[in-house]
Amino acid sequence: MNKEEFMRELERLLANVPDNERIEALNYYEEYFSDAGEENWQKVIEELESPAKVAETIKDGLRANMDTRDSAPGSGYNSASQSGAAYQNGTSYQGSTIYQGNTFYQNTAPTPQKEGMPAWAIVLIVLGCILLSPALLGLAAALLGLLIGILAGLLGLILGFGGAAIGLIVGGLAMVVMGIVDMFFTPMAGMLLTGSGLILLAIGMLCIMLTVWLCGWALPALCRGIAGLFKKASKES
Amino acid sequence: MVFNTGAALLDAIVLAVVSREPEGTYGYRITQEVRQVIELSESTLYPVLRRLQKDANLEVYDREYAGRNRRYYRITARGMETLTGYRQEWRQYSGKISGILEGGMGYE
Repeated sequence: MNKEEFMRELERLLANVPDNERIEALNYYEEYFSDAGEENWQKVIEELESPAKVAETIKDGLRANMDTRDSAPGSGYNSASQSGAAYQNGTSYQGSTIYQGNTFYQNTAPTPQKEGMPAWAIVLIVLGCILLSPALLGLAAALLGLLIGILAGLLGLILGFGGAAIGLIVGGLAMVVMGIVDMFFTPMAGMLLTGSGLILLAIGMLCIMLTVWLCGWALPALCRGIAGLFKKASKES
Repeated sequence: MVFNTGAALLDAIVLAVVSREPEGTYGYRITQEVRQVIELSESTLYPVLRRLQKDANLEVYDREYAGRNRRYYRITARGMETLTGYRQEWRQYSGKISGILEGGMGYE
């Protein structure tokens, strides 16, 4: 395999890598060959082993780059001959992000080094967390359920009052219209119907006011209360 | 070499190598210099350089060389801070290891 073939194959293998990353990597190896000098190309190709291995290293690097923050500390990679294999576990890069955190610089302060907690204390804490977690989870779930219940209840009230208001107003209006029509034939019954209709209308309007009040004041107030509760809880923990 | 070089140590070595060149240095040369101290596959360094660049420990710029483009890596202020941290960690770590392996005076 010559250099051109090597680069072509590498480009093909990197087809599913984002454009900018692929171009970066290809440029790097293109320059690498140039800097090595044509007389060394065969040596470089042998040392790189295969386009597949180089492509794998590049992809592993991109993957590791993305999950450095939540993977377990890397075991590091071994000597040169094994480095490719070790990179495949995707955790090799872990170290650096730890060292860029604040903790790193705190550790380098001139104050005496704080020795970490003894192992048994860590074990105890972990054990405690594990044992307590069902209870804590249950409590959290219960609280969440309660909050959702209150919210749903309020929503139900709003819907109920709103529905009642619409029904009452529509019904009331219909009764008033019918009453007025009736008045031409049976004045007493017509007046009664009209009066009842007006009462219904009034109750419907009351319901609308209540609904508006619930939407406009009680719901936001409740949300604020819940948010405040969460803030308080997160501050305490 | 029988001892492993962890990712953090490799970062430290690369940062140290690049920091020796205030004007910056390029991939092939970095690889050769790192390979003088640890065994390393030639393909290992590209992801390391790329990541150090993304973490803003290194910055890159392109300069023309022999009629073509060449990418130079230069250490940033942040990279210097990281390197200082690594150096301190390394002094402690290597001191303790030497202390126990060679039975002489420990670091503390």
